[in-house]
Amino acid sequence: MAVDVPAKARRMPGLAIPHRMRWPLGYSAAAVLVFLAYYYMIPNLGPGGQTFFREWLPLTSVNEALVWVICALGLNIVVGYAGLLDLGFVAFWALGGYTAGWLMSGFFYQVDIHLFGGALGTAPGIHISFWLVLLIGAGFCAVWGVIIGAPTLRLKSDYLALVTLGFGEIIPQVFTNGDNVFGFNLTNGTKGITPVDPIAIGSFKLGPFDLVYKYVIFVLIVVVVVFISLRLREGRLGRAWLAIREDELAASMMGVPLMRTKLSAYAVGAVAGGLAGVAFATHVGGVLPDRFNFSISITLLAMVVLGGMGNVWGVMLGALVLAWVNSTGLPQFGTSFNEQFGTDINFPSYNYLLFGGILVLMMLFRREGILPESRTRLVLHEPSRTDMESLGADMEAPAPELDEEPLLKTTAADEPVITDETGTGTGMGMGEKV
Amino acid sequence: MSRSAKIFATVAVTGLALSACGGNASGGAPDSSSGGGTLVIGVDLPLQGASKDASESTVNAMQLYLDQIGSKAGKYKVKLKVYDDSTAAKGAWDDATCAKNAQDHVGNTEEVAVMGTYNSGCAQIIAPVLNQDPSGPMLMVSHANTNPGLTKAWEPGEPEKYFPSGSRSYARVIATDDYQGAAGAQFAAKDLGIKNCYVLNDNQTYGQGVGKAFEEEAKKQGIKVLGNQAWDAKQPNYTALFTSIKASKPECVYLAGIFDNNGGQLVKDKVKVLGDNSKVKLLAPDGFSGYPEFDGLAQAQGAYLTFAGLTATTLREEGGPGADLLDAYKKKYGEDPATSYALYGVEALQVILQAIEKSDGTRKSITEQVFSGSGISIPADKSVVGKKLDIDPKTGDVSVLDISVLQVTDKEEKFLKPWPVS
Amino acid sequence: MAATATSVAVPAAIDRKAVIQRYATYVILLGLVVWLSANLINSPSQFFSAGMVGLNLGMLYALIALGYTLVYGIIELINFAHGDLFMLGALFSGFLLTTVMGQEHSDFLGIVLLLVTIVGTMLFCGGINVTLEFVAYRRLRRAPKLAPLITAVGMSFVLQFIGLKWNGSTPKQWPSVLPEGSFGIGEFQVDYSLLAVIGVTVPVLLLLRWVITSTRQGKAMRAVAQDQDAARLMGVNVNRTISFTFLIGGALAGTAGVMYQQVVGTTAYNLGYQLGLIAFVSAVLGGIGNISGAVLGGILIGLIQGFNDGLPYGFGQKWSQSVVFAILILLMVFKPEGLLGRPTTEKV
Repeated sequence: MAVDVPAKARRMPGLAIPHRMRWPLGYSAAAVLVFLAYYYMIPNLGPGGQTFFREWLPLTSVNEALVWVICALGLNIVVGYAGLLDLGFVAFWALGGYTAGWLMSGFFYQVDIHLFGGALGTAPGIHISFWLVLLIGAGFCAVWGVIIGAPTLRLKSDYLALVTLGFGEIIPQVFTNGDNVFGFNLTNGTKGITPVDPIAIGSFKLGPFDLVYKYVIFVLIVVVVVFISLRLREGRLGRAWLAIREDELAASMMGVPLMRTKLSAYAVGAVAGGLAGVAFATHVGGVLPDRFNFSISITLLAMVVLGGMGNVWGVMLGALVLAWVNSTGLPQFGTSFNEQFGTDINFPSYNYLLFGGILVLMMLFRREGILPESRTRLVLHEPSRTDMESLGADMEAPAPELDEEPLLKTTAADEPVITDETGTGTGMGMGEKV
Repeated sequence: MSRSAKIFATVAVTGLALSACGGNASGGAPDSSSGGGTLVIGVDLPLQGASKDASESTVNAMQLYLDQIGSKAGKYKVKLKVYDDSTAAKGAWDDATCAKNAQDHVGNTEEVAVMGTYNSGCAQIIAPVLNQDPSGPMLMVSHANTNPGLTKAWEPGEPEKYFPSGSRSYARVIATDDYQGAAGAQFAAKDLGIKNCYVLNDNQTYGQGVGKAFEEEAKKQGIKVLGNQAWDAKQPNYTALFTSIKASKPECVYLAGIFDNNGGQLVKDKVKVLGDNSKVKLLAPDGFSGYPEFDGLAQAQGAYLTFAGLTATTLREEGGPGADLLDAYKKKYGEDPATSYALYGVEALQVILQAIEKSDGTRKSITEQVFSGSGISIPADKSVVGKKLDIDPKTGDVSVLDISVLQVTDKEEKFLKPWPVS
Repeated sequence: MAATATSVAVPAAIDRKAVIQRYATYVILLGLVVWLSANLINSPSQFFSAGMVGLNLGMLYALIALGYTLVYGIIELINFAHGDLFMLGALFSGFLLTTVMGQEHSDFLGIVLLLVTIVGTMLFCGGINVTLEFVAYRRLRRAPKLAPLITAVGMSFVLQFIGLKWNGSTPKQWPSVLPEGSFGIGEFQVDYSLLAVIGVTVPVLLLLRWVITSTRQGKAMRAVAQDQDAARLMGVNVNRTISFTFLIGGALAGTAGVMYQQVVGTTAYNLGYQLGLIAFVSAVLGGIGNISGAVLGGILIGLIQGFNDGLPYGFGQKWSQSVVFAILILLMVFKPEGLLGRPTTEKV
């Protein structure tokens, strides 16, 4: 399906949309459509229609799903691009969230700093503009990404998962216990930091019911993260990541600096995690440490795996679907089902089965995800180097990764990695076994 | 085509899965002045995880009470709508779900007031949103939030930061942590004659608050507090923890927290290391009250509990609406409510119903009934907790009920004596 | 890998690194000794009882850690579901002993039924583990490492779901058939339950050691662990050997489950996640893939937790988790091969 559409497009001269533009355009159209729907259509719908949308697709759920998208895209850079399994990604979400908690609330009442913030000028505490806090949160998390990434650099993939998991447990515990750091209340403990200032655009402040504007803001953050993801992937760094993911040893032999490349994956991924944290804090209106547990990291991983590791659009789709199922879909389905059939089944409790089952079934039957990235599929189905060698395989075999489907020998146009003009000369893009 | 077009196109990416979506958009300020119609009271509780049983029995008791009085408040028909503020994946209340529920409460045009939440943290998220409701503020009455900061000056900025519109909209029918902890300390000093005590808290808002209050009052009463440490609900056992406590030779241990947080194991290991409850006294606030599993533990026998209001047994003896409700509950479900919070839930419902009765049926008017004039007052012969209950119109706090001291004996909580609050 | 590559190219750098690492290890060890002595002098009886508690915990960790280490040793997979298997073992034990057989007190019959329960739970957990391998991991044996790892995480959630439905969302209390109380002199007391744990754990470990070193199946396991292809060429049935390993690992988790249910007496659906992680850290501490290492690591981690929670100069229980994970991270930085493991280089 991904292959035959551009062929059709070529046949129709009026609709000459390049293959690589189809997804971005499609998503932009969908985003605008959603905005228009919530802004104009639904408020004018009859009470029945309004109830339907309020129950099945409330804008809060959409906004929450967008936060998940931001975070999942960050994890996608670490896991999907660079192949570094991170089981503690929730740590960055927490760090981003607390950045917002610290800089956008009256928590540090000892000081009085106002910088284009959304709070009244008289309120004590640090009140910095949401936009600045986004930048600060991103930078703060990038630093932490490097700190967390550094000890893992020498490790094999499964050990690495464990160390990240360790950080994913320690950092939230620090926030939970941080109400008395040598007598100083750093995080307010389990009580968390509430409320967080509203987002301010100039002098206009977003109230709790201006969800549709928040939606636009979150969509813009998603765009930034998608843009970063796509641009980096095509560039030098992205190709180095893919090279590491596919064969670390070969990549390092070809001159890819392992240390710097891996750390940058952590840092860039963490930036997205931090953005998500800040966005989430404004979405909820506070930051509470209870949230940041292992199941969040696993849910994020399930989103990346379901959508298709390495494919930005797939991950986005996976995150939207799972976030919606988690927050609204499953409970609402349960309510309707129970009302319809007079049963009393606790559907939300099937969450564990659902997310666990998704991970297992996807790995067993469709490892590449619902929207596969051709390269991932290949890597995940290819026996490891040593196995192939032991079977006497010729490692110089013609590049099979250019085939999207075994029968359709078309070059994948959304795979600009090898054919890209910038790929020459450095040896950085030579991780692929061409 | 490539770069600039791509940048342009990527702007506003998102949501193929969401196409053709909708929902209650900005504001959509509902007008609920459909006089004489059906009004909805939102019930916001965690229905998954550790608090599941407590929440379900609260909902059941409320529904039962509503049926008993004919689902009416003055000229209005009233019904409940239950919202779940927890997720199964977390097994506890969830901040994002609370934020979503807050929007839903305001968005649902028929809804006029909210009963809940169970967790103070969730209330901290919901209260400011309901307060800014353009057609409100919308009334919220909690049966279980004991964090003092929601209604009175406690931490910096509290409670004003929860009421951005400037007027109050949050009330509660339960005494705050400070009373519970203080009563426990006074009882320990005066009746048990204890000279030193060790405080353990469950590292949650409630536990920390009660623990802090106990510690402060204990010092005033001449009890030496040997330490105030957190227990981690996720740990397999607490023998090591009690080993460290044993060295300080306490005469009593105060468990500031909720039984759900692995309290059973904690009590077992307390007895294992420090000896039974006649040797080293065990005290706990109402977070441990109302759990049959706790009362049934061999190691819990002899423990003292404090509890605001009257116990099920005493209520039954005194008769009145509380006894009727308990009897009806037992008849319908075969057992008493799983938690004492169930009765508080009905009490909160009574407050909301009286506010609706006095009002003109709009959110704004219902809230005003609670926070103006003399406020809400439920006489003793109507109140399901068996005592007169007043809501202070200035703060939304309850007039403090006397605290009962209970003792666990023969696998039941027996009423020991009332403890006047000072 | 990368480290090996650089070690050939720049030997001087690796020397300096090794020296720094050695001194860092000395400093950490010295700090540990000072801390322990300070506690010992401050309160010897407390030190002793905290140590006993730690030993008790450590035995349980060791039993769980062995399952991780066996599976890792043979197919290089961190079986994330292993902790949850242990949790199901604890639930099954309570179900069998208390609900089915109705034993709630400590007497002679209780001990007999306990042994029956141990065998039953070993079979139950071993069976589940073999099924997991057959259904999920076997098909992914040739896949890149990320795939079975993610599958194991997924399986962990599926097992937790079973636990949630079985145990309910709140912790459940169980009666114990082990004798209560303790013996000893004055302040230095040893619980009978600790003896029971040692009485079960040590024979199981000796049996395991015998199976691995002296039986045909054990030799096959070691052969498969070294080189699957070579083992196959030598006539070893690789699939059966791997299934057997999962069976043993599961049985060990089951044993741990019974002991936990009896000694601690509280079960919860998310028990396995917590203990599984700690047990995994134990396995890594001892040197993953190494049987004695897992036991050593388990006991060390148990002691560390016991001391941290129970000693006057400990961080207190609320940091217990962080302490364990901090050890994991330090270990990964300074000594990824663990205490008893040998430094390995990946086959290229």
